[in-house]
Amino acid sequence: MENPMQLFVNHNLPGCSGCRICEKMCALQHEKKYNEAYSRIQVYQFYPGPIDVPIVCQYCDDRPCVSACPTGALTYDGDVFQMIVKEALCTSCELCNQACIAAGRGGCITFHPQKGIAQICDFCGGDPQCAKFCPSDTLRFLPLSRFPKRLAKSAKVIASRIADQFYPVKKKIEEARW
Amino acid sequence: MGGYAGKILDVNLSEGTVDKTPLNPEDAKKFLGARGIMTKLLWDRMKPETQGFSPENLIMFFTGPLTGLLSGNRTIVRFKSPLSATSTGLNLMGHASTGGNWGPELKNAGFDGVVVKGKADEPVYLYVNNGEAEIRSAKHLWGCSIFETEVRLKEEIDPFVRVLQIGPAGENRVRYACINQEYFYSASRTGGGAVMGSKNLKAIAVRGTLDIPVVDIDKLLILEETFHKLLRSNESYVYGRNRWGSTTANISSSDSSTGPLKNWRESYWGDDVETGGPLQWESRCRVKNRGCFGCPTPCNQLGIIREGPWAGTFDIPDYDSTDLLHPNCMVTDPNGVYALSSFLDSVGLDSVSTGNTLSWVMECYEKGILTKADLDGVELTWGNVPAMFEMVRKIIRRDGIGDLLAEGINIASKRVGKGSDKFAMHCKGVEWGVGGAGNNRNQRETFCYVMSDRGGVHLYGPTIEGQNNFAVADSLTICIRNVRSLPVETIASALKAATGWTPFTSQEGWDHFAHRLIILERAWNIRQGLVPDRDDILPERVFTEPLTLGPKAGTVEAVYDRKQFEEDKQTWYRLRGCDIHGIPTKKTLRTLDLAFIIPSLEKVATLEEG
Repeated sequence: MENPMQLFVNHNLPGCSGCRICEKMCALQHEKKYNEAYSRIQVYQFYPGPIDVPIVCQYCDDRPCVSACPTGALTYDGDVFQMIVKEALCTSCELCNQACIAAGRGGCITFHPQKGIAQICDFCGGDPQCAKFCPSDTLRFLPLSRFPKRLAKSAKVIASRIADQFYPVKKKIEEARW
Repeated sequence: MGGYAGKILDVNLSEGTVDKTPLNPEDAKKFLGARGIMTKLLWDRMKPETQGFSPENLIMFFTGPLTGLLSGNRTIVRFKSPLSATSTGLNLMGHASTGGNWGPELKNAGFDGVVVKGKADEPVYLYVNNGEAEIRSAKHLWGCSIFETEVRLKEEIDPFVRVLQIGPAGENRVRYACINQEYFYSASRTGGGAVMGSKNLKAIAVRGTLDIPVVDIDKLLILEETFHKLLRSNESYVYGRNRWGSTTANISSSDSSTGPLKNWRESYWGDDVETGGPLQWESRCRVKNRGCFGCPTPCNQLGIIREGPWAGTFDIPDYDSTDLLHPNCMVTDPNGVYALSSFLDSVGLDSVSTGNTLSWVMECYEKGILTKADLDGVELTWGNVPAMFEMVRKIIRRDGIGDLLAEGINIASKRVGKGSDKFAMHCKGVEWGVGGAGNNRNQRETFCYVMSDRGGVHLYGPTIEGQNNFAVADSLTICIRNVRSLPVETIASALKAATGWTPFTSQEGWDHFAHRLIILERAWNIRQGLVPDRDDILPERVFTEPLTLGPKAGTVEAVYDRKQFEEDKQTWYRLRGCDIHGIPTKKTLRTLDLAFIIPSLEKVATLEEG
């Protein structure tokens, strides 16, 4: 059965303001520390703009990350509809994230800055703090199944899509040396 | 030590060394952070004879105890300013602040602040990463615009690196060059970019993945929610800021006759205010909000010009840039204002000082003080946007007349002479900002410019209360807009949860702390050569040319009475515990726990017992 609730990231304008409250709250929720490196969601900046693109696991059906994990540390629990990382089994090989990127997805798995263990969105057990605190309503926790799969793209692809909405006129940045 | 990273990065560019110094806990308790600690460091470390462009000048980038927590995100920069000066030409305090993501990243990298001294032989940039730092060559970046440097350094190092940098204006030491980050965020006033340029320091790139230590994380988790709710619930404020940004002040300042028009000759421009204001921006250009780190009420309005010769130019217009480039230079084309504002951001020039400089030249040109030949053939008439572009290019290159204008209107008006200093709108060499502080005619708020430790800067606070709020906000590194929506008790409990102590729990303690800081800044300036009797002055125009437009025309408020000004000045001195010459008394210094500065202050001024 498909996941009933999804973390929907609205990449349409006006969209994300780049405040990174989601990163901060994610790190606080999972590690109780002020350090955005623990965050499961990452806000990329693209230029010209700045255009802000939050990247977080979109719970794809095919899960290339899970099949790439050589030790079975990364699994999907269909009973609670959550991705699970078994810390004892994780070897910090980062193959899961590479598989995510290779499949054309966001590369949404981060790694613990000290232990190196994979970190992936688990919806905070059902009440995602990022969506709760997002001031621009870019992040929503909704019973949607169609949107997320389409949004599991690399940050660069999403940014260029936003830029198409953003710039009705194309102009190259003046790169002349002074 | 909770709330602080506990280390300062000491960089000596002349010798190419980077050292880590522990943060003095005594200083932290007494001066809190950022603005406070830097003022203390300046007092301890900088010799009075140092000038803005001396290699011995220090430039400091600091965070405070709440940076990276709650909605704290500001980075404060302090240095000896090349622009701010006494009437004898001795440089004074320089101060600028910026939001964005740089400050929190620095704290995650394990440092509370960076202190840079000396001068590198070749262009360099500083890379700080998780408790380590190195000086790297920036030859490939020298001459690049702000926009290009940002993209190049992100490609070179890491997509999540945060960069503070200068543009070509700073490299060429234009005295009002600014320090930028993320394209449009800048620590703009008083010439920090020129100081970095004089040190051959192109950028400071920071990346950090260390924890910020705090004392009571559970309390902070509750406060995160409280802060979020309080800031979001200030509805009139949030709605205006979120939807239109700071440019809303364009309309209110014109209606209350406190804005600048035609080089500050008038302060009211009726219905024309619509031209470059927030409504025009919203309907023509606006695309989305951008916010600083951790701020639930993002107020930067990002947009793009869609038609005309500047189509495709993107910008985040601010009240100061739109006001000083638009009515103050009599520009009627809003797209021209936005294009200029964006251009100034890309080259790293302070739009406030640039707007003032251009309007001063326009007035000189109109009055025949400067001729077309003097201006190298540029016809700088009121509202001529292409000519303004041309002149700015000259200023950046310090080419011809641009070399003179790059010195700021204080020095330029003295060299040009012919009475042009009467309408050179600056205080202590720093061109006037706007930012709701009011203009010359708004008498109560003129003190923002007269008493400020850094000249005509609008971010010093108009009233005693406002100045106190700015002093604490800049030390905690919370945005002043957030401080205005939060009760003192909430901020105090946040500070206590982060550090385990707080110097204030009520308004009284808050004011006492701010008073200490403001007096220390004033004393520092006096040690550098400031003589309040001689230097606490306003431009001639304020006293002699009454307003002829708007609600204040024909009333007593149309012009500032000299006698009234002297009275207001004495009131300020009295409230701040200074004698009639504007020097802090010994009693004030002792009550404020600043007795240690008495001996060195006595060498330059006569201190009354009080």
